[in-house]
Amino acid sequence: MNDDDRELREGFTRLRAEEERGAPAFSALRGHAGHAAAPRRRLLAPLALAAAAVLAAAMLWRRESPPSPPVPPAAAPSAISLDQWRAPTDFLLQTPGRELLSTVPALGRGLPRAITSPMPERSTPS
Amino acid sequence: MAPGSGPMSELELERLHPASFGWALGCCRWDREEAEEVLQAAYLKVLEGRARFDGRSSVKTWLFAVIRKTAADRRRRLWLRSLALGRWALAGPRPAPVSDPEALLGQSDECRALRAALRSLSSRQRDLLHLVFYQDLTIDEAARVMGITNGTARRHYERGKERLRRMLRAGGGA
Repeated sequence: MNDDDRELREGFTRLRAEEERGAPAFSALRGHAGHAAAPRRRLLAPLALAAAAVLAAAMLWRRESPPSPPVPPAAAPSAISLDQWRAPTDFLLQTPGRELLSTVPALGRGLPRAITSPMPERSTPS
Repeated sequence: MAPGSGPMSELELERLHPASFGWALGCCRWDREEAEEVLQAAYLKVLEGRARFDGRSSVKTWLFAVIRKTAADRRRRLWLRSLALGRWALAGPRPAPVSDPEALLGQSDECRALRAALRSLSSRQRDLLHLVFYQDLTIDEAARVMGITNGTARRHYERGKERLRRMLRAGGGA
Protein backbone atom coordinates (compact mmCIF):
# COMPACT_ATOMS: atom_id res chain seq x y z
CA MET A 1 0.00 0.00 0.00
CA ASN A 2 1.51 3.38 -1.00
CA ASP A 3 1.07 6.73 0.75
CA ASP A 4 -1.81 7.76 -1.48
CA ASP A 5 -3.67 4.58 -0.62
CA ARG A 6 -2.99 5.13 3.06
CA GLU A 7 -4.42 8.61 2.82
CA LEU A 8 -7.57 7.31 1.17
CA ARG A 9 -7.90 4.55 3.74
CA GLU A 10 -7.65 7.04 6.58
CA GLY A 11 -10.37 9.15 4.98
CA PHE A 12 -12.63 6.13 4.66
CA THR A 13 -11.88 5.08 8.24
CA ARG A 14 -13.02 8.49 9.50
CA LEU A 15 -16.12 8.23 7.33
CA ARG A 16 -16.89 4.79 8.72
CA ALA A 17 -16.48 5.94 12.31
CA GLU A 18 -18.83 8.85 11.69
CA GLU A 19 -21.48 6.77 9.97
CA GLU A 20 -21.34 3.98 12.51
CA ARG A 21 -21.93 6.51 15.27
CA GLY A 22 -25.11 7.59 13.51
CA ALA A 23 -26.32 4.08 12.67
CA PRO A 24 -29.80 3.15 13.91
CA ALA A 25 -30.03 0.36 16.46
CA PHE A 26 -30.26 -3.11 15.00
CA SER A 27 -33.37 -3.81 17.06
CA ALA A 28 -35.15 -0.83 15.49
CA LEU A 29 -34.67 -2.14 11.96
CA ARG A 30 -35.19 -5.75 13.01
CA GLY A 31 -38.43 -4.73 14.73
CA HIS A 32 -39.64 -3.00 11.58
CA ALA A 33 -38.55 -5.93 9.47
CA GLY A 34 -40.94 -8.16 11.39
CA HIS A 35 -43.80 -5.84 10.53
CA ALA A 36 -42.68 -4.88 7.05
CA ALA A 37 -45.39 -6.95 5.44
CA ALA A 38 -48.07 -5.19 7.47
CA PRO A 39 -48.51 -2.15 5.18
CA ARG A 40 -49.15 -4.44 2.25
CA ARG A 41 -51.68 -6.41 4.26
CA ARG A 42 -53.28 -3.14 5.35
CA LEU A 43 -53.71 -2.21 1.70
CA LEU A 44 -54.93 -5.63 0.65
CA ALA A 45 -57.68 -5.94 3.24
CA PRO A 46 -59.80 -2.94 2.10
CA LEU A 47 -59.26 -3.90 -1.53
CA ALA A 48 -60.51 -7.42 -0.87
CA LEU A 49 -63.51 -6.06 1.04
CA ALA A 50 -64.39 -3.66 -1.77
CA ALA A 51 -64.11 -6.42 -4.37
CA ALA A 52 -66.37 -8.69 -2.30
CA ALA A 53 -68.96 -5.90 -1.91
CA VAL A 54 -69.01 -5.22 -5.65
CA LEU A 55 -69.40 -8.92 -6.39
CA ALA A 56 -72.27 -9.30 -3.91
CA ALA A 57 -74.06 -6.24 -5.32
CA ALA A 58 -73.70 -7.57 -8.85
CA MET A 59 -75.15 -10.95 -7.84
CA LEU A 60 -78.09 -9.31 -6.04
CA TRP A 61 -78.87 -7.08 -9.00
CA ARG A 62 -78.82 -10.04 -11.36
CA ARG A 63 -81.12 -12.04 -9.14
CA GLU A 64 -83.68 -9.23 -8.66
CA SER A 65 -83.99 -7.99 -12.24
CA PRO A 66 -86.61 -10.17 -14.15
CA PRO A 67 -85.42 -11.80 -17.32
CA SER A 68 -86.73 -10.06 -20.45
CA PRO A 69 -89.43 -12.08 -22.37
CA PRO A 70 -88.35 -13.60 -25.65
CA VAL A 71 -89.52 -11.73 -28.74
CA PRO A 72 -91.98 -13.80 -30.88
CA PRO A 73 -90.64 -14.26 -34.38
CA ALA A 74 -93.89 -13.04 -36.08
CA ALA A 75 -93.87 -9.81 -34.17
CA ALA A 76 -90.34 -9.06 -34.94
CA PRO A 77 -90.22 -5.78 -36.81
CA SER A 78 -87.25 -6.93 -38.80
CA ALA A 79 -89.24 -9.89 -40.19
CA ILE A 80 -92.12 -7.63 -41.31
CA SER A 81 -89.95 -5.12 -42.96
CA LEU A 82 -87.96 -7.84 -44.70
CA ASP A 83 -91.14 -9.33 -46.20
CA GLN A 84 -92.39 -6.01 -47.53
CA TRP A 85 -89.11 -4.65 -48.58
CA ARG A 86 -88.61 -3.75 -52.19
CA ALA A 87 -85.33 -2.87 -53.72
CA PRO A 88 -85.20 0.75 -54.88
CA THR A 89 -83.83 -0.42 -58.26
CA ASP A 90 -86.79 -2.73 -59.01
CA PHE A 91 -88.15 -0.27 -61.61
CA LEU A 92 -85.16 -1.00 -63.81
CA LEU A 93 -86.55 -4.50 -64.39
CA GLN A 94 -89.85 -3.10 -65.78
CA THR A 95 -88.68 -3.21 -69.42
CA PRO A 96 -91.03 -3.07 -72.50
CA GLY A 97 -91.88 -6.58 -73.79
CA ARG A 98 -91.07 -8.17 -70.49
CA GLU A 99 -94.23 -10.33 -70.75
CA LEU A 100 -92.69 -12.15 -73.75
CA LEU A 101 -89.94 -13.42 -71.55
CA SER A 102 -92.13 -14.37 -68.62
CA THR A 103 -94.99 -16.18 -70.49
CA VAL A 104 -95.15 -19.27 -72.73
CA PRO A 105 -96.43 -18.62 -76.26
CA ALA A 106 -99.83 -20.37 -76.94
CA LEU A 107 -101.15 -21.76 -80.21
CA GLY A 108 -104.07 -19.91 -81.83
CA ARG A 109 -103.28 -16.68 -80.28
CA GLY A 110 -101.78 -13.94 -82.23
CA LEU A 111 -98.51 -12.31 -81.49
CA PRO A 112 -98.64 -9.08 -79.68
CA ARG A 113 -99.48 -6.19 -81.82
CA ALA A 114 -96.19 -4.56 -81.59
CA ILE A 115 -94.54 -7.54 -83.29
CA THR A 116 -97.17 -8.23 -86.01
CA SER A 117 -97.58 -4.64 -87.19
CA PRO A 118 -96.27 -4.23 -90.76
CA MET A 119 -92.91 -2.75 -91.28
CA PRO A 120 -92.96 0.75 -92.77
CA GLU A 121 -92.15 0.86 -96.51
CA ARG A 122 -88.57 1.56 -97.27
CA SER A 123 -88.12 4.54 -99.50
CA THR A 124 -85.85 3.83 -102.42
CA PRO A 125 -83.44 6.47 -103.47
CA SER A 126 -84.24 7.88 -106.89
CA MET B 1 -22.53 -20.34 10.29
CA ALA B 2 -22.16 -23.56 8.37
CA PRO B 3 -22.33 -23.27 4.62
CA GLY B 4 -25.77 -23.92 3.20
CA SER B 5 -27.30 -23.96 6.65
CA GLY B 6 -30.19 -21.75 5.53
CA PRO B 7 -31.34 -18.50 7.07
CA MET B 8 -28.73 -16.42 8.83
CA SER B 9 -29.10 -15.99 12.57
CA GLU B 10 -30.15 -12.69 14.10
CA LEU B 11 -26.98 -12.67 16.16
CA GLU B 12 -24.83 -12.75 13.07
CA LEU B 13 -26.89 -10.01 11.42
CA GLU B 14 -26.50 -7.87 14.50
CA ARG B 15 -22.74 -8.39 14.52
CA LEU B 16 -22.53 -7.13 10.94
CA HIS B 17 -25.14 -4.39 11.40
CA PRO B 18 -22.84 -1.32 11.62
CA ALA B 19 -20.91 -2.37 8.52
CA SER B 20 -24.17 -3.26 6.75
CA PHE B 21 -25.59 0.17 7.50
CA GLY B 22 -22.49 1.84 6.08
CA TRP B 23 -22.78 -0.28 2.94
CA ALA B 24 -26.51 0.44 2.60
CA LEU B 25 -25.75 4.17 2.89
CA GLY B 26 -23.21 3.85 0.09
CA CYS B 27 -25.65 1.89 -2.09
CA CYS B 28 -28.30 4.59 -1.56
CA ARG B 29 -25.91 7.51 -2.18
CA TRP B 30 -26.09 8.51 1.50
CA ASP B 31 -29.83 8.89 1.61
CA ARG B 32 -30.31 7.76 5.20
CA GLU B 33 -34.02 7.11 5.01
CA GLU B 34 -33.69 5.02 1.88
CA ALA B 35 -30.73 3.15 3.38
CA GLU B 36 -32.78 2.19 6.43
CA GLU B 37 -35.62 0.92 4.26
CA VAL B 38 -33.25 -1.09 2.11
CA LEU B 39 -31.51 -2.58 5.12
CA GLN B 40 -34.82 -3.46 6.71
CA ALA B 41 -36.01 -5.19 3.53
CA ALA B 42 -32.70 -7.06 3.27
CA TYR B 43 -32.94 -8.24 6.90
CA LEU B 44 -36.46 -9.45 6.23
CA LYS B 45 -35.28 -11.44 3.21
CA VAL B 46 -32.50 -13.01 5.25
CA LEU B 47 -34.56 -13.79 8.35
CA GLU B 48 -37.44 -15.25 6.36
CA GLY B 49 -35.02 -17.42 4.41
CA ARG B 50 -35.88 -15.84 1.04
CA ALA B 51 -32.18 -15.13 0.65
CA ARG B 52 -30.15 -18.17 1.63
CA PHE B 53 -26.47 -18.33 2.32
CA ASP B 54 -24.94 -21.00 0.09
CA GLY B 55 -21.45 -21.01 1.55
CA ARG B 56 -19.70 -20.00 -1.69
CA SER B 57 -18.33 -16.84 -0.08
CA SER B 58 -17.96 -15.31 3.35
CA VAL B 59 -21.12 -14.36 5.24
CA LYS B 60 -20.23 -10.67 5.02
CA THR B 61 -19.72 -10.82 1.25
CA TRP B 62 -23.02 -12.63 0.80
CA LEU B 63 -24.95 -10.24 3.03
CA PHE B 64 -23.51 -7.25 1.21
CA ALA B 65 -24.58 -8.75 -2.11
CA VAL B 66 -28.11 -9.16 -0.73
CA ILE B 67 -28.16 -5.51 0.42
CA ARG B 68 -26.85 -4.30 -2.93
CA LYS B 69 -29.46 -6.29 -4.85
CA THR B 70 -32.23 -5.07 -2.54
CA ALA B 71 -31.19 -1.46 -3.13
CA ALA B 72 -31.09 -1.99 -6.90
CA ASP B 73 -34.52 -3.68 -6.87
CA ARG B 74 -35.97 -0.84 -4.86
CA ARG B 75 -34.57 1.77 -7.21
CA ARG B 76 -35.97 -0.12 -10.22
CA ARG B 77 -39.39 -0.50 -8.59
CA LEU B 78 -39.55 3.20 -7.77
CA TRP B 79 -38.52 4.06 -11.32
CA LEU B 80 -41.17 1.77 -12.81
CA ARG B 81 -43.79 3.15 -10.47
CA SER B 82 -42.89 6.70 -11.42
CA LEU B 83 -43.28 5.69 -15.08
CA ALA B 84 -46.62 4.04 -14.49
CA LEU B 85 -48.22 6.61 -12.24
CA GLY B 86 -46.42 9.77 -13.18
CA ARG B 87 -44.73 12.12 -10.83
CA TRP B 88 -47.96 13.48 -9.40
CA ALA B 89 -48.86 10.16 -7.82
CA LEU B 90 -45.58 9.93 -5.97
CA ALA B 91 -45.60 13.53 -4.86
CA GLY B 92 -48.38 13.09 -2.30
CA PRO B 93 -47.44 10.44 0.24
CA ARG B 94 -43.65 10.88 0.07
CA PRO B 95 -42.15 13.10 2.72
CA ALA B 96 -40.21 16.12 1.62
CA PRO B 97 -36.57 15.23 0.89
CA VAL B 98 -33.99 16.28 3.39
CA SER B 99 -32.24 19.30 1.96
CA ASP B 100 -28.90 18.45 3.47
CA PRO B 101 -28.39 14.74 4.05
CA GLU B 102 -24.98 15.44 5.50
CA ALA B 103 -26.67 17.06 8.44
CA LEU B 104 -28.08 13.69 9.39
CA LEU B 105 -24.83 11.83 8.96
CA GLY B 106 -22.23 14.09 10.48
CA GLN B 107 -20.62 17.46 10.28
CA SER B 108 -17.00 16.69 9.54
CA ASP B 109 -15.72 18.65 6.53
CA GLU B 110 -13.34 15.90 5.54
CA CYS B 111 -16.11 13.34 5.46
CA ARG B 112 -18.36 15.71 3.62
CA ALA B 113 -15.70 16.26 0.95
CA LEU B 114 -15.09 12.53 0.65
CA ARG B 115 -18.81 11.82 0.25
CA ALA B 116 -19.15 14.54 -2.36
CA ALA B 117 -16.18 13.16 -4.29
CA LEU B 118 -17.56 9.62 -4.06
CA ARG B 119 -20.95 10.77 -5.34
CA SER B 120 -19.42 12.05 -8.52
CA LEU B 121 -17.82 8.67 -9.34
CA SER B 122 -19.65 6.04 -11.33
CA SER B 123 -21.66 3.69 -9.15
CA ARG B 124 -19.33 0.79 -9.94
CA GLN B 125 -16.21 2.74 -9.01
CA ARG B 126 -17.87 4.13 -5.88
CA ASP B 127 -19.06 0.74 -4.68
CA LEU B 128 -15.67 -0.88 -5.30
CA LEU B 129 -13.77 1.80 -3.41
CA HIS B 130 -16.27 1.63 -0.57
CA LEU B 131 -15.96 -2.13 -0.28
CA VAL B 132 -12.16 -2.10 -0.38
CA PHE B 133 -11.32 0.97 1.72
CA TYR B 134 -14.34 1.24 3.99
CA GLN B 135 -15.26 -2.39 4.48
CA ASP B 136 -11.72 -3.80 4.23
CA LEU B 137 -12.64 -6.40 1.63
CA THR B 138 -10.14 -7.56 -0.99
CA ILE B 139 -10.77 -6.59 -4.60
CA ASP B 140 -11.75 -10.19 -5.38
CA GLU B 141 -14.29 -10.22 -2.53
CA ALA B 142 -15.64 -6.87 -3.70
CA ALA B 143 -16.00 -8.30 -7.21
CA ARG B 144 -18.03 -11.17 -5.74
CA VAL B 145 -20.34 -8.75 -3.91
CA MET B 146 -20.92 -6.86 -7.12
CA GLY B 147 -21.22 -9.90 -9.35
CA ILE B 148 -18.46 -8.83 -11.74
CA THR B 149 -15.18 -10.47 -12.80
CA ASN B 150 -11.98 -9.79 -10.90
CA GLY B 151 -10.42 -8.15 -13.95
CA THR B 152 -13.31 -5.72 -14.35
CA ALA B 153 -13.23 -4.97 -10.63
CA ARG B 154 -9.50 -4.21 -10.72
CA ARG B 155 -9.89 -1.89 -13.70
CA HIS B 156 -12.74 0.07 -12.09
CA TYR B 157 -10.93 0.12 -8.77
CA GLU B 158 -7.78 1.67 -10.25
CA ARG B 159 -9.69 4.21 -12.32
CA GLY B 160 -11.94 5.13 -9.44
CA LYS B 161 -9.03 5.55 -7.08
CA GLU B 162 -7.24 7.87 -9.48
CA ARG B 163 -10.34 9.94 -10.05
CA LEU B 164 -11.12 10.15 -6.35
CA ARG B 165 -7.58 11.32 -5.55
CA ARG B 166 -7.73 13.98 -8.24
CA MET B 167 -11.04 15.27 -6.96
CA LEU B 168 -9.94 15.35 -3.35
CA ARG B 169 -6.82 17.27 -4.31
CA ALA B 170 -8.87 19.67 -6.39
CA GLY B 171 -11.09 20.36 -3.42
CA GLY B 172 -13.78 17.76 -3.01
CA GLY B 173 -15.72 16.47 -5.96
CA ALA B 174 -17.71 19.55 -6.83
